[in-house]
Amino acid sequence: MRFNNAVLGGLLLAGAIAIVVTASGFPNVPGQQFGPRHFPYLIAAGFGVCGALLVAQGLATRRATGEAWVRLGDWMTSPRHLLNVGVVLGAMLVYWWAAPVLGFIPTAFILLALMMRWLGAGWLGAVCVAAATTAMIHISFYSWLRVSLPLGLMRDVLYP
Amino acid sequence: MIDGVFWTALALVFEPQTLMVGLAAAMFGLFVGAVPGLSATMAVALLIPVTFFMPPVPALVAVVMTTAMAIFAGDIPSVLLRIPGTPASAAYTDDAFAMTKRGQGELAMGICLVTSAIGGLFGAVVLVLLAPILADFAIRFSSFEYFWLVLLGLTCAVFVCHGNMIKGTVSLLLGLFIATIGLDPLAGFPRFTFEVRDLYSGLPFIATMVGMFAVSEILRTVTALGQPLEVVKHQFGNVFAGVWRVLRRYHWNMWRGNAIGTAIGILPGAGADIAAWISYSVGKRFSRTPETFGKGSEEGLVDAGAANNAAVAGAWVPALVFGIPGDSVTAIVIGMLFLKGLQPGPMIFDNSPVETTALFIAFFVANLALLPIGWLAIKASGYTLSIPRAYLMPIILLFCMVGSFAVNNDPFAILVMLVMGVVAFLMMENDIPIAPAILGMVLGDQLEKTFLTSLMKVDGEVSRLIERPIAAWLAAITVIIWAMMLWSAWRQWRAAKTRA
Repeated sequence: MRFNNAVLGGLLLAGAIAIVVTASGFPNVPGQQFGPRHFPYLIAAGFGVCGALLVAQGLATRRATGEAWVRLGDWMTSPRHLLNVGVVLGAMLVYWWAAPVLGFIPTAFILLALMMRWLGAGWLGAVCVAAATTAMIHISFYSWLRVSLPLGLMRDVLYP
Repeated sequence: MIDGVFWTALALVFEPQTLMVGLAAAMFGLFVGAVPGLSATMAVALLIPVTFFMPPVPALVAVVMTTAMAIFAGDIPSVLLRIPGTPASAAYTDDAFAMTKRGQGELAMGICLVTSAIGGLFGAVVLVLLAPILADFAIRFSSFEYFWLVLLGLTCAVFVCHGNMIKGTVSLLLGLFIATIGLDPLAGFPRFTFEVRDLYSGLPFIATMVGMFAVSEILRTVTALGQPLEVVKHQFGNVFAGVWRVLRRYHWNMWRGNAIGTAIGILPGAGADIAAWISYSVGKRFSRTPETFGKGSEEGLVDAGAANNAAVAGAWVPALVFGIPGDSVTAIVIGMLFLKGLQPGPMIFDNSPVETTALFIAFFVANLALLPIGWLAIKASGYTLSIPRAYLMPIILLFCMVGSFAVNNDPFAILVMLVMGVVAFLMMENDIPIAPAILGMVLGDQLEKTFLTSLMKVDGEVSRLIERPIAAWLAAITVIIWAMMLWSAWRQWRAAKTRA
């Protein structure tokens, strides 16, 4: 997804204003000339200048070539590729939500197998590779590196 | 004393456990480097959570091994697929593939392997000789010099970006803004945290890096899935045959490539990819047969191949001495050094002599080991390149999630990784470079602290920030580079206007 530079510039200008408004609420440090708000002010000034330049650049390009405000990438017009992105982002959200409840092993196994299958692997291959990968990561991180991967439902099975 | 430190470091590097870690890291680096779309930076970002659980020396060995191997392994798909495995191999991909097409695949691979190893050793020698000298010099630096040095580093990061300078600057400012999230460095006031307690210590560094380098690449790959890779079936014979003849003939190109690579590596923000492009361009400019470049030129391959691995070691010079990363890999590594209790800066050689000596030794070991291990990787390249993406991408994603979680056992890191992955993906889609943002994130805190501290020392008089001689020199160089960038941008704008 490609934005015309004027759109990017507009977003930066909005960001600059948001930074200034938020930073203006930061307190002064007693007895000091400079405080927590000054560096964000400088960054906002930088965003403002770059935003204005990008707006000018984007408008000039649009006048010369008729460039659209937003141009969808090829992948955005292909339902399959759009869903691929949804699957990757969804997998991270599902893992974040489900791993503490279900545990690492079932969550990772199910997510891996479904993602592999969705991306074009055969069922048998997906299930076998997902099982082997889950086991390998569990052993290396949980047993060797002592990372407390969530056990969830598997707690009673692994450590009765 | 020095001997004692050296032998202790040598013993630590050659401990069986460290060697095993190094070997595993080498395999990992070769694999990631050889798979198109996965970069050396991504390999290091994925590796850091694992090194979190290791003592400092094996962790350093693992990072050095992974980087050196990944940068070389990027040449393998260049030779076989005409697709660079990492951006560092992009400059000479056409030459490498053209040689394969005319039946010189072994020679192309051999040149890449040997020049990578020699380049890496050259960079390591410069690192060993230059870093302690610079450290002695830097010990006299105050907040004024550090402020200008950090600003110069950030300026260089924008300067070496391809394409739109404004977008490079935007990327840098974005990184600096992200660095302001959390408690401010002088007063300890929470900024841009919106009362989310997890943000008080800033965005989790490793999750941010994994998101920006790994998740963004996964997103890029799954939006292009379905375009099958066409592997040239090539059974590699003796890859070393004929290499010495080529290196004898182009020995000047090789040393020049090594020097350019190391120098570019030392420049903050510019890494192996830019080193290879610049060395390739210089090689073409001075070649007697520039017309052969891009069509299977052995000379071009030597020029660029000698530069990219040399840059890897060069990038460690500013990272160790000033805490200013030379490239995106060392930007991640600096975070790891802090986690390991190794404070980058001029005192690192005094405070952690064994670890820094072990790091130097690791560079020599890695680049010598590159020859046999790289040779094996070339032999196994057919298998590596045939692994379907449908299996690979979900496994990498799971590693990202587990790795981000592992550092602090904090699920919040997974959300940060997700958001930063999407941000980096959108940046790439809009030609906004990622490297300046990373440098901004790493150096933002230091820039703010040195800037405000220096201003307080001179009662807010900005002109007095250049009253010390070294600070004045650094300021002058910084201003000259910004002036050059503005001049170049103005000329481009004029040219575009004339064309219109």
